[in-house]
Amino acid sequence: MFVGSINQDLRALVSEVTRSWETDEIYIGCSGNFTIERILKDRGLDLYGNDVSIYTCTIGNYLAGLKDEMTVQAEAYKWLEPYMEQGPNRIATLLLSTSMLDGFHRNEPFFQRRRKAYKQQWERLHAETVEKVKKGIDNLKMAGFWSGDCVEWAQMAPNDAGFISFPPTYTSGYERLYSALMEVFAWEEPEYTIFDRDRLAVMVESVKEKRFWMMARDEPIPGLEGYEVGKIQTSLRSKPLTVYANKAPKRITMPRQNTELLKVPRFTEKDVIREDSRLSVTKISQAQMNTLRSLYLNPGIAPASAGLNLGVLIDGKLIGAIGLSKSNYGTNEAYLMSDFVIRPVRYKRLSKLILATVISKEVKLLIEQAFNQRMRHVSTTAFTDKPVSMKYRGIFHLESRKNDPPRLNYGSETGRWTLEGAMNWWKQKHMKEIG
Amino acid sequence: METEAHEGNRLNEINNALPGGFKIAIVNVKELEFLEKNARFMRNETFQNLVNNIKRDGALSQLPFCYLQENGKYKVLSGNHRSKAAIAAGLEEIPVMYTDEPLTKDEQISIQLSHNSISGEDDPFILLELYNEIEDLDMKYYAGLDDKQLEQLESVTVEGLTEAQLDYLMLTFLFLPDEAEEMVRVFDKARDFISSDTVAVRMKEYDRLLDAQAKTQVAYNIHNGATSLMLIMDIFERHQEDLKEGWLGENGEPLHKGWAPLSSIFGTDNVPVESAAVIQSAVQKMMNECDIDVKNKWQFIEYLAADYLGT
Repeated sequence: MFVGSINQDLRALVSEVTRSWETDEIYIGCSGNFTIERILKDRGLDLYGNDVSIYTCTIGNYLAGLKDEMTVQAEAYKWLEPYMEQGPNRIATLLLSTSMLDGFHRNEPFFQRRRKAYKQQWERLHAETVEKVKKGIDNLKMAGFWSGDCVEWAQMAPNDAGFISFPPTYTSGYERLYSALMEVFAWEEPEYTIFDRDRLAVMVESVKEKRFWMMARDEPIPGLEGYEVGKIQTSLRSKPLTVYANKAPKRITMPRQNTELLKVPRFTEKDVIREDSRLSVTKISQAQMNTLRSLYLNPGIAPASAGLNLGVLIDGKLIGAIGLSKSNYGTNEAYLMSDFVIRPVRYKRLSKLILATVISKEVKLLIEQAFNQRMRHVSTTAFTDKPVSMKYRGIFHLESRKNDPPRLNYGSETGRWTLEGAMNWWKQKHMKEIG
Repeated sequence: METEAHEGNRLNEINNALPGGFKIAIVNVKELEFLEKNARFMRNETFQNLVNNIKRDGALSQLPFCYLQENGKYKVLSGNHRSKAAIAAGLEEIPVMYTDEPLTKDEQISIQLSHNSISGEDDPFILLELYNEIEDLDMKYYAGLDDKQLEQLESVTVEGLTEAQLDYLMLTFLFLPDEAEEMVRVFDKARDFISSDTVAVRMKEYDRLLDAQAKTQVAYNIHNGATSLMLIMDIFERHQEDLKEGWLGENGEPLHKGWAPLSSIFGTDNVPVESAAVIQSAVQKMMNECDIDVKNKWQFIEYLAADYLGT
């Protein structure tokens, strides 16, 4: 799969910014998946594309009517040869190969199984992809395409034309992405210089000489100060993109979380825990979790989506919430992303009851169902410079202390007790009314 | 010191002039007490906007309304998020409007709710006009609005340039605590009804499945759940002869009157094609001579075996 960087908001800006450009020619630096070209294809413009990757050059040469040669060089993939005819056939082969060859040198069963499946299903996959490619590039013609360095392209492009480029942010990103394709296919790779800050500075100087231009990047571009026309952020944890142009209306977009009210009564300061009080959990949506977080957690904590969100209830009334995901560090491990108690409450240390709920058998089962694997352990992080966290102490084990930022990693085995057992444990050890 | 005294006097003058018993004070944020129960919530991103605006201004531009309690704390009845944002922005003191007149609980809650519920509305057209008059990008952020929310972005539809996806079959396992199915049957069922998507097994087997999956993941160093299930099936395939335990007693006697899979005898479902051709013609001949019928072709093997054993 080609991973593009031009999100929906940026597409809207490309469309809007270029409308006011008084030129019939637009040069695009780093055509990538031809998103810019496809946005502009029905405007009657002469579009000139450029890139260095095997995938983009294949599309660009075809759309510009340029001949290019490509063969399968890896013995194990010679079976792809009938699918290498220039045009949609070859484009579809490369597009499918970006997914099929992911983990090219890895021989774990998952990768072997996937490669085998691609080969088995190839006829259908290829036929369908050819149709998708045809649809994707329908009515798109390039007046020209140049396989080569985008900085040189910016220097070559005429100054009275328009120029758009969203250059790569990460050094050598392209090389990592396409290394497997380069091993399997033989083609005439264009020469280019690795794109870095110095090359960007050279590019910027050339771009600024154009009559109309637009650039965007997820970090400020030195030399373009004062040309900012847009800031785009699509999610709370993504870096905002800064859009630069010499002539454009000014636009910003900000992320907005979905929220949804949770229509469950709250276990308030007036509610009493009785001898027969029952602890339970209920699945809640991410949007409901967002609302609860906004209500009860420090609003300065940046939220993230959890794979499983649960409301914790006593006698059917909400007392707190839990957000869990798969851990990035262990196979059979869940990660507790958030756990909190509602306010106000009658009892102290209800946070321990929420944690006791997290390690109950019932919640373990829900986690295992949600992530389809055994979950023996749950871990979490307390961001504090204190030596221990009073919240986790006595129920989770302190596993490590880290710095930058100062934090404590806690963990526990899952399924330690039933929800009933959790309630009894909390009642015996911690239940105490406030004040 | 003189300046501070002068400012204090000015504040006293203002407070004396304010009607309704309301006063203004500059208070240390440690003297603030926040509402424990507040129906109003603010999304993280909105809160961050507010913090950024306060940082930019270096001060609050709207005053929270507080109730000065007997304990000397200013209980924030209105402007809780604003005050918390001021703290997050690093302010140590903020200006507040307050009353020190005794307030009943009803009065406190009413003030709290009224400041949120009694508020104006925006005409979207005028709002848009005003927003569009802002030239500076940072000031647009300050306004707390954006072009997407105001539906000012062009609608762009670009046909996806993507590939077709692999075909996958999805099986959903529903586990009922009291259901007494066996694991092998589940897998057999899954195979027999590969297009149906629901198979039920009892909870214990679910536990065993997850354990087997976890062990397989560790042994093969894989993370993908479906792949580990495939490996479990492969291991099962290699040990089909162990299924004999299900139908054959220790002394070679049949354990039930049902059926047994041939693979539990031969360890495989397959025979070489050349051998298969010989077997096929022998079976056909036996059927032609009415020694076996079309529904009981398997009896061919039994006849041969009995003959071989001399029974």
